Amino acid sequence: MLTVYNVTKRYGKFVANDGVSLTVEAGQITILIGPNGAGKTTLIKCIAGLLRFDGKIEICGFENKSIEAKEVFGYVPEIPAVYDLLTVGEHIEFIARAYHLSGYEEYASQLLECFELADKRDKLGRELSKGMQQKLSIICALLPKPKVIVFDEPMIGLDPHAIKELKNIFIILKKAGASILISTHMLDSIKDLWDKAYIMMDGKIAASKEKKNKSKDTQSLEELFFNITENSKTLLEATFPQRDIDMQRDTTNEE
Amino acid sequence: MNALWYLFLIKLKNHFKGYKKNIPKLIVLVLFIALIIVSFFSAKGGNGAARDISELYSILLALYLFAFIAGSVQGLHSGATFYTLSDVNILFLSPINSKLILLYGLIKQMGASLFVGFFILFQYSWLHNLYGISFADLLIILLCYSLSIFASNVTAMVIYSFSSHDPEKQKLVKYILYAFCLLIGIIIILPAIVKILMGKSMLEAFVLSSSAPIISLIPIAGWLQVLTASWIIENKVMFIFSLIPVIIYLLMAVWIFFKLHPDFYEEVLLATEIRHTAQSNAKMGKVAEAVPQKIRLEKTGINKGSGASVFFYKQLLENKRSRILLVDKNFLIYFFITLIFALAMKKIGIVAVFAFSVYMMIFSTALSRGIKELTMHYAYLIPVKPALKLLAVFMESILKMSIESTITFLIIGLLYKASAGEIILYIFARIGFGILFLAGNILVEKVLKGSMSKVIMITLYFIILIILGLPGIVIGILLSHLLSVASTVSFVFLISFLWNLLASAGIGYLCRDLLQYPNA
Repeated sequence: MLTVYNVTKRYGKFVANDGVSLTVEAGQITILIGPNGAGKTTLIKCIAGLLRFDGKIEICGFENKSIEAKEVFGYVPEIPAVYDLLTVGEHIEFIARAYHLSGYEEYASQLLECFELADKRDKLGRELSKGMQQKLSIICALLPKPKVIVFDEPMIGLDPHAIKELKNIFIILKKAGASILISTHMLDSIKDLWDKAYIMMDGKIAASKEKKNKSKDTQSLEELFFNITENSKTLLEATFPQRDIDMQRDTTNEE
Repeated sequence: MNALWYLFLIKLKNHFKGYKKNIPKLIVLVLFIALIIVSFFSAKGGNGAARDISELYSILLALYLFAFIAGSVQGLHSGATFYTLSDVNILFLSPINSKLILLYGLIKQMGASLFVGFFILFQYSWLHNLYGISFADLLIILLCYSLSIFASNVTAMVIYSFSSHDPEKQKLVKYILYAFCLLIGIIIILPAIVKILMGKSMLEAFVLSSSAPIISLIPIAGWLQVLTASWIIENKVMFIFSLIPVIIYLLMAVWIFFKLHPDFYEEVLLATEIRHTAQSNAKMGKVAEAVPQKIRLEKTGINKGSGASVFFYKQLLENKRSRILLVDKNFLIYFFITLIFALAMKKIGIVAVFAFSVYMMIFSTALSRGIKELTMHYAYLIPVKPALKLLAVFMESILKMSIESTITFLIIGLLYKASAGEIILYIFARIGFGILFLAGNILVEKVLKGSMSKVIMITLYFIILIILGLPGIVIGILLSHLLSVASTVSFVFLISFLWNLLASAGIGYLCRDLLQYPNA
C-alpha cells in the first residue's frame, strides 16, 4: 500500500506540489492525471525518494526512503534510464545482484519474452531504440517483484504490442496484490484498467474518482478531467473561421 | 524585417535581457569581467618579455592545431552543426532560401566560436609578464583561436557531406587526416629530434622546429600562427598575406559544402540531434562519456558483486567496454600535458608540476564514473545502506586515480631524479587531493545542485575545493615551522594528504545519507 500524506514540494518560491494526499491500496490501479506542469512527475519523484519534500510518504507502512521501503518499491521513470555500456542481460544481472534476488532467471526470461527483448539480451543499452530502452527500464523495475510500483508516463515511446503487454502486466500485478500508481496523459489507453483516479492541477489534487462509485456518479473521468482542466473555449474556433467550422459540421451531419 | 535578421536580433536581445531576470547569471558575468580586469591590472608594467616569444608561437600553434584537427575529425562521425533543433524544426521548414539559412548559421557559429575562446582573455597577466604581449595582441590570439574553431566546424561539415554513408569515402578522408597529422609530426618532431641530438634542450628544440618557415604552410593552424606573429611584430604585409589563405579556405569550404549538397538540411540533422541530446543530458545532470563507436562483446556478465558492491564490478565492466584497462584517454591527454609542463618548467621544480597535475585532476574527477552514477536512479532505489552505496559507487574512481597518480609521479619523479620516498609521498598526496575533489564533487553536485545555475555551481565548486584543500597546506607549513622540520615540502605534502583524507571523510560522513535523501 502507498500512502502520501500532505506532501508539499517547493523549488524556491515555486510550489510544485501543495499539500498532496493520496492512497493506493493493495491490488488497486490508481491513475494520476493532469495537464502538463500540474506536478505529477514531481510527486512521483517524491514518492520514489528522489526529491526532498515536506509531508510523509509510506510504502507498505515504511517511510519511503527507508531500505525496507526500497525493497518493495519499483519505479519506471518517464525518461528511460539504462546504462549505455551494459547489455540487456547485464542490466537484469545488475538488478538481481543489487536486490539480492535468487531464482530470477525464469521470471526475467518471461519479461524479456513478453516485451520482445529476448533476442536483444546481448545488445548494449545504447544500441536500443528509445522504446526498447523504455521496455528494459520497465523490466528492471518489475524484476524484484515490487509490492508498490509507480509508472511515470510508461506508454510513451512504446509500440502497440508493448502497450498491450504492459496493460496485461498491470492486471497481473493487480491480481498479485501490488499497489500500482500510473501517471499518464493517455486516458484512452487505461480507461478499462483504473480503480481510482486523481486529477492534479496546479500542484494540488483537484478531484478524485473511484470506479466502484460509478453508479452514483454520472460524469465520466474524461468529462471530469476536461471540466477541471479546460479554460479555453474551442481552439478550433480560434484557428478556423466560423464559416469553415460550419461547413465542416455540415459535412459531418451529411455523413 | 527579414525573418532571419529578426530571429538573430531578438535572440541576441533576449540573451542580454536574460541577465536582468537571472541575477546569478548577471553576477557571474560581472565576475568574469572583473576577472579579466584583474588579470589586466595584475600584469606588470612595461613591455619587456621575460622569455623568448617563440615559445608563445609554439604554444599557439599547438592550440590552433588541436582546435582545428579535433573539430574537423567530427566530420567522420556526425558532422558539425551551426543550428539548434528549433532551427531544424522551424527554420528549415519555413519558406526561406536555404542559402540565407546557411549564411545565418555561419554568422551564428562565428559568434559561438568567439565565445568558446573567451578563456583566453583570462591569460593576459602571465602572457604579458612572460612574453610582453599587449591586450590588442591578446584579442588577436582570441580571434585566431575562434577562427580555428570556426574553420574546424566548416571543415567537419564538408567532410560529413562528402563522406557520410559511404565507408570508402570515409576511409579516404581518414587517410587524408592521418597523412595531415603525420606530415605535421614529421615537420615538427623530426627537426626537433635532430636539434636535441645536436645538444639543444628539449624545449628549445621544439620551439625552434615549430617556428620554422615551413610551418606557415600548414593549413589554418600554420596560417593563423603566422597571422598572430605578424600582428605582434607589426608586420602588415605578412599579416595580410597570412589572412588571405584563411579567408580563401573558409570561402572555398562553404562553397564546396553548398555545391556538394545544395539541400544541406540532411547533412546537419544528425549533428544537430546529437548536440541536442548531449545538451538535454547535460541539463539533466547526465555526463556524456566518450566511448568507442564499435564495442566488441566478448564475454558478457558482471559476474561479481552483491548489493552495493555490484556498482563497483559494473563500473569495471563499463571501463572494459570503454577500452579503459588501467587508465583512460582523458588521463593520457592530461598526463601528456603535465609531462610537457614538467619538461618546460624543469627549472621551477617538481612542486609546480605537482600543483599542475592536481589542477588537471579537478577536471578528470568531475568526469569520473562515480559522479555519473549519481545521475541514475538505481543508486538511490537499491535497498542497501546509503553509506555503503556511496563507498561502492566511488570505489572505482578512487582505484583509477590511485593508478593514475602512481603512473604520473613514477615517471615525473624519475624525470626530476626524486628519491623513492619523495615519489611515494607525491603519489599519496595526489591521491589525497583526488579523494578530496571527489568529496567536493559530491558536496556540490548533490547538495547545491538544483538550487542554482550551472555556472554558479562550477564557480562554487572551485571555491569549495580551495576552501577544502587550503587548510592542509597552511597547517603543514605552520607545523613545519613550529617543529623546525628539515624537509618542509615533504612534510607539507604529508600533512596535506592527511588533512585531505580527514576532510573527505568528514564530507563522506555528512553526506552518508546522500543516496537515501538526495538533493532537492
